[in-house]
Amino acid sequence: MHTTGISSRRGTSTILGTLIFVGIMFTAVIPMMLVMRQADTLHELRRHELDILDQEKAMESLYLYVCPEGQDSPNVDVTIVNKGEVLVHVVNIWINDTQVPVDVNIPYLSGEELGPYELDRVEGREYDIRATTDRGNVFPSETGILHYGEDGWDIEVFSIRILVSRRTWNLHIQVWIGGSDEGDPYYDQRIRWRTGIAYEIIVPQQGDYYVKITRRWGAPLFDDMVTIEWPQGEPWAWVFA
Amino acid sequence: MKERERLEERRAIAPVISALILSAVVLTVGGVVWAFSQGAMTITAEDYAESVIEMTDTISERFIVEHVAYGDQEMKVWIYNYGDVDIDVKIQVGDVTHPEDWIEIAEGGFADVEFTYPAGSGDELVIVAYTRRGNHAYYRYIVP
Repeated sequence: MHTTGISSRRGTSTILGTLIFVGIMFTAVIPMMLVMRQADTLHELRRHELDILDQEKAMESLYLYVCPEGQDSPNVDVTIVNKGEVLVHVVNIWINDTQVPVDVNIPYLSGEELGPYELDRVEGREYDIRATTDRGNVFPSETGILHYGEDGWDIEVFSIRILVSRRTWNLHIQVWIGGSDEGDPYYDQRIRWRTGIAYEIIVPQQGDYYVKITRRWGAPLFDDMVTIEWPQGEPWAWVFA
Repeated sequence: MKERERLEERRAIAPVISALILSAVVLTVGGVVWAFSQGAMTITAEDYAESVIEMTDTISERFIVEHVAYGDQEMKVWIYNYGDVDIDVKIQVGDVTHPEDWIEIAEGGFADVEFTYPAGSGDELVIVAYTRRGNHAYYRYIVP
């Protein structure tokens, strides 16, 4: 009788103890574990976002082309071409040590012309122009550091570069300014002796040129328009004849 | 006989009282343990979450030395915080650290630091920007 009584009392305490234990588990331990788990999840999520940010930063590829508006003009235009695979947000343009805040989005594989920016044109001075993106990249000018000299800006020499794959004894090279072969050609040269392989024709500016390369006999080696795409591209155009 | 019966009646009350006392003790001790564990677990969870957030902020820091200018023994350093968290920055060039107090730069913000630093033309300097959380950004600069 006594044994049954003690067992009954211990049973009540065991039930209470179990209830308290379960209560502690549900109200303290499990919420703590959930909070920790949530913090870990947020941390992992952030790490993933940062990985993406770093990858996108590495994928940024901007080409800056700085072009004075004239040989002696104080104004320069900055053309930025996004050749990367991500949209780029330009936040600053640097002209030497001067910070010029900008707010320009450039979608991938497209360009944006900024400026004109007025420079002080001190003879002998160099102008280093750069662009900073919101992902922390700083891109220098593809056209190099701009130099202002005695005769104004030292700007690019534009040319048409011709490569002839076959040697011939007679070659006629003609170049017209513009997109057609109407009117007098800007360049007209007959090479009567054994011809070379490569020629470079200096032209006055960027833009479209019509190039015709013929031999004495046979079909023309080249008869088409070429474009010097500077500042979005190189200051020359290739002709493969 | 009556005395025996009286004693047995008294013994019938004792188990009830002892069960109540035992239950009360269990409840009291359980309640204390419950309260203590709740407090301890809450503090532990908060500490853990805070440390994870701090760690997340540390790895979230993104900043660069964007530009450096030098002239007349004066150096100017521009810093760009392109990350998503505010940062506290100092600049170190050689053995010299500037400024004394941390510079606070909000997320997406810029700051510039100007200080005197003796250097000769052609000197190659390594400029280090470091944050309170212990991240570094390096910039190699050749004095013009």
